[in-house]
Amino acid sequence: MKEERKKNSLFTDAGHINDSGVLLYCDGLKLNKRKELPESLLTHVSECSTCREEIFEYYEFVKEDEVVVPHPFFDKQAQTISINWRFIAVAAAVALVMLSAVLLYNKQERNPVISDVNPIDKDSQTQEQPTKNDRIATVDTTAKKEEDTVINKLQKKAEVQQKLIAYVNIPSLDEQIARAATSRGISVLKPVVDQEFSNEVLFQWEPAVGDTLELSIFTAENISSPEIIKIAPNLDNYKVKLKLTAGLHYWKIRQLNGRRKKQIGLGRFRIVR
Amino acid sequence: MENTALYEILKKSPRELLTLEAVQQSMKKVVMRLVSKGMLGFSDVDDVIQELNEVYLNKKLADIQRNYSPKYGLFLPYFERTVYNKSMDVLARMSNKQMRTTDFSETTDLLSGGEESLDESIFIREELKKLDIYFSLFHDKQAKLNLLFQLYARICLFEPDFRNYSNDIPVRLLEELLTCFGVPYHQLHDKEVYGEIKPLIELVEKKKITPDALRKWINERAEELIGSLSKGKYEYDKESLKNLMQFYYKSRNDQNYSMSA
Repeated sequence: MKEERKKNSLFTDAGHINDSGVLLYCDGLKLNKRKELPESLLTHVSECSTCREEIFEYYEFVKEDEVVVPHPFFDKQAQTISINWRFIAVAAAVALVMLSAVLLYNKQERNPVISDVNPIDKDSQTQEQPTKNDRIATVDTTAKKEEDTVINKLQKKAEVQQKLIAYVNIPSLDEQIARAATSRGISVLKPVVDQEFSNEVLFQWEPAVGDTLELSIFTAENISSPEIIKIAPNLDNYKVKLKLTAGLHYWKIRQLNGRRKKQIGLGRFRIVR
Repeated sequence: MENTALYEILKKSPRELLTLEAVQQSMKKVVMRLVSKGMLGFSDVDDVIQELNEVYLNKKLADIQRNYSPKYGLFLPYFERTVYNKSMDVLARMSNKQMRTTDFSETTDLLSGGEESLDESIFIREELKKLDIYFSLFHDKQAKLNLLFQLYARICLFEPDFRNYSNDIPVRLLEELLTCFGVPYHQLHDKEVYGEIKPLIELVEKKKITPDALRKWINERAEELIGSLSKGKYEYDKESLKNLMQFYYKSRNDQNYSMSA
């Protein structure tokens, strides 16, 4: 328990910030999200020269490293929203199946009542039967309408939720895009930020480079498993013909040089249908 | 490799981590960066990596297993942070760092559009960015630090400089401050400078304070900053820090004016 608490702390036993704290502060500076850091961390650093020195020194060392997103701390909120939407969509689908099952069960329960007429009372019931059948038919039609309405509503809700999921932003990437996170040497001319496409997406950059380029396309939902396309050297454009879903997509182009990957462009576009 | 997978390996068989290509690459990346920053000779790379691997196998992996929390960041950057720490220990033993000194008096017109070389200009801008980062570490004390560093470097102050510290300054006090610090005041001693600013600090902090306490506070910050900046390629002293401050506040004011124009 104590070990776990210690692990989840940003401070050492001596009261200074630990490696997690230093790293988190540096990531906050790099992502320009210092204000989102825990107040205890901000206050301690403003008062402790030892910790300031640690952060300052390490920030200088890693300032050129790209922060991998989504960040476990800073993008927690975006991830929670995304997971919540997914959860709601799944819950809606489960509710839909359960409701259909209940209605179907009720329908089967009612039908045997109609046919299960005692042979002894058959005559006496014969006169009543049309009336009862009529009533049951009416109830059945009403139930069917209700069922359709509920199913339609749930389907529409699921569609809306699906659309919302498709347009979830990745805040830390949006900030990098706003800062025009491109390489000094190569400029990616197309697509421009938030350009809309219905089908194929044209990527264009200049100048052409002698290395292979790696184009990743992803959404907030599938950020950990992006579509990756390797583009041959010496090209200055590429048309993506993937079947992308409608919504907001992010892209990243990296230049591959041996084991090194250098980012040359980052942006987002929309697929509309 | 996914962070969760790395975390699982760390929990179950930490030694296996060191055999992973990604982890070895991370270690090498840190060591090579020390080389690129001139803190380590290229010929020492293999020895340092071997020593680091031994340290990690013997003790450090257990520490990481105990301390790493995926809640605050990914594993590889955390691992790199620990490699950096250990490398600094190794470097302290080797102590082969070479220092150069710089003289800002030779580059006084750099930010005013003089005939600076591109390298010098980039260097100054990099140092100014470092100051930005350093000041941001002061959170809610940033405004006080800015005000006192401007006094430390004897920079002429205008109304917005005081307003940045407090928006609620009595007119009379503001007039007195502008009379004192709105014109060149290099000739004033520390005691006089901090004696003049004392009423404003007391007003904002709502407590009694002596000019000497203010002098000590800002001198400590200056020493701290000299120490931090000197860990880069160049060694600073009080005078070069004051010169850098002049550049910093001049460029900041220029930016403010160009934004308001």
